[in-house]
Amino acid sequence: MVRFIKTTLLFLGILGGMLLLTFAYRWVTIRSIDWSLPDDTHVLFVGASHIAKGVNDSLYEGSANLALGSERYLFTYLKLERLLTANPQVDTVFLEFAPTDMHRNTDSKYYTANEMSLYLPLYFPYFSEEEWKLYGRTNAPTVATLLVQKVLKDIPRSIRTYGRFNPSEKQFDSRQDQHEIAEWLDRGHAINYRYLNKIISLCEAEGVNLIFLYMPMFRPSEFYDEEYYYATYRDQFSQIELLDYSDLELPDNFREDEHHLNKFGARFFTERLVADLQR
Amino acid sequence: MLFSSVEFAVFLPLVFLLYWYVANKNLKVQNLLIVVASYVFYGWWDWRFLSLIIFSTLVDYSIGLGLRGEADPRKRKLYLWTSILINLGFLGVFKYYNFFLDSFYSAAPGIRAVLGFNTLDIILPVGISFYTFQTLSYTIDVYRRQLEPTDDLISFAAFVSFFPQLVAGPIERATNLLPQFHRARTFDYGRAVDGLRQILWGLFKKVVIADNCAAFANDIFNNSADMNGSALVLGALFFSFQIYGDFSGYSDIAIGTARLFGFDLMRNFAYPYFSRDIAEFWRRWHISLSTWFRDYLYIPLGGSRGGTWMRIRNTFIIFIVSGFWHGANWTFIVWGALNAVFFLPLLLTKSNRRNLDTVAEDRALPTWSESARMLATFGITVFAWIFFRASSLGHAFAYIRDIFTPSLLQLPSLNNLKLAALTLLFVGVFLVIEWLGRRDEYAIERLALHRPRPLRWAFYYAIALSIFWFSGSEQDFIYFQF
Repeated sequence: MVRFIKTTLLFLGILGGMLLLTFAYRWVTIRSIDWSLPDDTHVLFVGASHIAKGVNDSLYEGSANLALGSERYLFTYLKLERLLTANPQVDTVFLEFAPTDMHRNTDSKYYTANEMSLYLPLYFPYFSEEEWKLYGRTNAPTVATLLVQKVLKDIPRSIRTYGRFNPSEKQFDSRQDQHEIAEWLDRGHAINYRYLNKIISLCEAEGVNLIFLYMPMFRPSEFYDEEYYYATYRDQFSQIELLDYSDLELPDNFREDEHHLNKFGARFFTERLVADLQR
Repeated sequence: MLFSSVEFAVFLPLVFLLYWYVANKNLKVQNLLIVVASYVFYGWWDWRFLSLIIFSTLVDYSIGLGLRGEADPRKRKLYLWTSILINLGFLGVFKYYNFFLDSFYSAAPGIRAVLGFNTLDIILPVGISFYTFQTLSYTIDVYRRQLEPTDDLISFAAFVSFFPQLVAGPIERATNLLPQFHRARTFDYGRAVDGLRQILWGLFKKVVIADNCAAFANDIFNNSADMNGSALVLGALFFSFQIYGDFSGYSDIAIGTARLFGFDLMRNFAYPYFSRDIAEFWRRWHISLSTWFRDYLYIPLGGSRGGTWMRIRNTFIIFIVSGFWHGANWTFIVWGALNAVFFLPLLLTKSNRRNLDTVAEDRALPTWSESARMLATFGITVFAWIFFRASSLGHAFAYIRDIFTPSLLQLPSLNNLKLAALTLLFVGVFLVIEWLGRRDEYAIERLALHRPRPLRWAFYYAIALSIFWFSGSEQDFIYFQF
């Protein structure tokens, strides 16, 4: 029995050592990522899929789209910390600010298997004690299992893994629209708001102009509680400029679906945004 | 809790140490620990499930004691049928009530308004199909006087709830497992190491093979209308390896875990995809269930005795009931019937007991004839799996219809064809390992045994690391839904 336990512990110890080495490899690789952008890049677009699909940074000189689908503000904050440190020339940040970021499952989304499996392996080397507590408190076994499963998968080596313009080829047809009007519940947003405020403070500290961007949607009032959204903006975030394009008139073939633009819509919207900013 | 979860990785060593270091001085205490650990394991899913298994345990324990003191054949039969009705009654309500009601209403639409019964919103308790059959085997064997009923409630409760095999088998016979709870267990180093090895292999089959195949099988079956013929064939293939890796992997983990505690469970899979005919396949696939149906249904119905029509009838009954056991859907019934159709020619020509040995037992490779027969058997099995996996009969027929189109000769219309090819490569490597180990209880039982320890451990580390690195997205064990 003692021999069995010793042999098993030895085997598991060596296995654990190998796994630790792979963790260390991933950690070092991610921490070594160069977050520098070209010197002429002074505008950043960050957030989730609305911006990732909707802003074609090749049409906006001096900008970089580093948004990633489903990204919550915690991860955007960690990304921005690195980006602003490595790129002091950045003077403007456009941040996705949609009702999907304001309520609708914002906090619970941090703990869905899909979200965790995408974001934890990318960002865990940048976690501070606060982020570890956040995940450890409620999901330690799940987080541990997930990190072990993903440790050698898709190791990011450049910042483009953390976000890029991701154009869609799909085309929306509002005549086929099967959407249901969502019943809005305030499911908790403490985490997301906390990190949104951190983003605001970070940009203030770095002297960067932060602008909220509400991307074009199809009939947003049918999908989101806009009353809540605008009231929250007014009450808590009105010090930040909001560019509201949610009601921008667009044909169906500029949209991927109700919430996202496709590549044609991205072109149209980016050119419109550039024109508006120049005015 | 899943075998492949962090919770189980903590649970198992804890129970193991308590079992061998704290409870080992007293057999009753050891059995009680098994009961407590098993109830914790089972209750982890939903504590409400415990009431059912405890009730089932108490009912069959009492019936066993009742049978012991009863000589009157009519009263003995009454006891037996009480057990059968209660156990199958639970199964019927939790698993089949909605199916029967929906099917009845579909056949007679106007009757719904008259009867007014609605379908129930019931959770299917995990493992109910397994432990009800397990307890039934006890009462039937006691009734047949093949087993002395036990008056040790703790042992009986441990037999019913034994956590390694509680939720997805093997379905143990009381004659095999119950006596093991009455005997003192001594720790055996070789057996414990063998158990760990089998657990490792089971995890590989589940996490690397089954879960990775599942991703493709789910995508193809869920979007079959948009797939071309070759993609649909791939979908059926992926599902075939998903269900094999999943179910046989779980059985390996169950058997290996039981070995750690000094128990021997029955073998449940014996390389079924190397079968040379469908009869051999059914001797090698889910052995605990097929032998259960053979001993408790087929033989009492007359088995292969009697005329041709009786044999045909009994064969169809067995396969259809077996299909129905898997789930409350016509697809499972058709799957069972299809296997009966495949089996019948062998039975009627008395060729169903031909291939009793292991294929190429004394050779490295199969003959061309053996290879052809294995491929043919595998082919019809894969065809039948389409019904097993499809969401409805309409889905299954559409799936099959869409295979046999000119698009069968095109490249599969999958998003990630490279990943699919890589997964198939893994499956190929897996099949080679299974082939090399086909004479053993599980593929890696003796594969590296006579090599020096560094080489042996390197082999085990390769398997262990591939479990971590190539694991697919976590999927529930398929058979949990049964």
